[in-house]
Amino acid sequence: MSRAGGITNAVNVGIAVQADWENREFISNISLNVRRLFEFLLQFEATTKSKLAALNEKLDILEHRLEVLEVQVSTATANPSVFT
Amino acid sequence: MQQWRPENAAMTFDEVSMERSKSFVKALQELKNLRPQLYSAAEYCEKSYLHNEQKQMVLDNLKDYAVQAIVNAVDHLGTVAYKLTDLFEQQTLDVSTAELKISCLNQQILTCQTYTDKEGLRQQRMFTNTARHHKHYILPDSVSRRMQSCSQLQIDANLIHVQAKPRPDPPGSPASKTLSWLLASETNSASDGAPREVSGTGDAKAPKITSEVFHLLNAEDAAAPMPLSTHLRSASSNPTSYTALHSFGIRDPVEPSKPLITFRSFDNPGRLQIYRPPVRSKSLLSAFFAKNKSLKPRKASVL
Repeated sequence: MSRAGGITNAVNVGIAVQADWENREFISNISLNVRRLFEFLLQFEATTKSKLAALNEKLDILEHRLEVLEVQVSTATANPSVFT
Repeated sequence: MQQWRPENAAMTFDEVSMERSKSFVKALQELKNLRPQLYSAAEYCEKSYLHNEQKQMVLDNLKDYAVQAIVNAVDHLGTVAYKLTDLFEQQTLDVSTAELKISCLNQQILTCQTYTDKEGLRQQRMFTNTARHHKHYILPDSVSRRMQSCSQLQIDANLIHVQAKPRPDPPGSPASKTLSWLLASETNSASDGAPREVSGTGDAKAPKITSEVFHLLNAEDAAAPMPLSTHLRSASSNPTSYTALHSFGIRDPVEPSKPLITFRSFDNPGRLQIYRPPVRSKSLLSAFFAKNKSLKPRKASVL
């Protein structure tokens, strides 16, 4: 009887250990995927930042050029006799 | 069915951009809402695992929910990333279009500026246009013709011509002579009276010269008969005979190295005539020696 109980306990422990190992595997898989998601997010953030910085610089240059054009046009409109 | 109008196209373009922006914002909002959902799901699973007796079932449900939550999160993140990238590309395209339009405006303004500058320069040139003309176009007629004659005279002087014939006066010139005519007339008059440069004319010169020489020699004959060389030496010392000596074309015995080619006669002291020494002819020399011989018996007779 005691021997049968011992065998049952061993089987239960074995099953528990196996379940534990499966759970751990599952957890590791989940954590791995979460880390991969995190890395994707970091990479996406860096790329988007660089693109936005380039676009911002382009917009600044265009803004300056527009200001120069605005001044030139205002000068031209202020002296219409030059074009007559 | 769809009527494509430029106004609708412009509105559609704006609506599309608005839609894109809205969808991005919506996806981002949903991604943000995932966080409290995941937190609430985690609290529920913890409580149910603690209070429920069927722990294995709770665990299995929890595993399934975790997988679905991760898939949902990845889906949301992907949507947000895609919408953001699409929005960024649209904005980049808009910026490029604006850059092209600004470049066109810049070019137009540059063209206008260049045009105004050129027009200004052209107007300035019209006011300050100073044409350059040759002298004979702007000087008066008489002065211009004298200038022409002077230039022609210089050309003639450069040539090796001693005889400068006076050029015929131009048809419209006044009776008062031009410079070229005056110079030409001077040279011609001098060439008419002076001995010629050609050797053949030496004989023509000789009688005139010999008359002068013998005139001087006769004056000295009474003293003593002398040979030709001594005559020449005495003549060279005598200034009156010096010119005759020069005119004869004989080298100066005092300075034999200098050939005499210029003639300055007493008839026209102001004139400088050029001629070459004439060729000695037999008649001259014979006449000279004959005269010498005739002097000797005179001397004898005197003594």
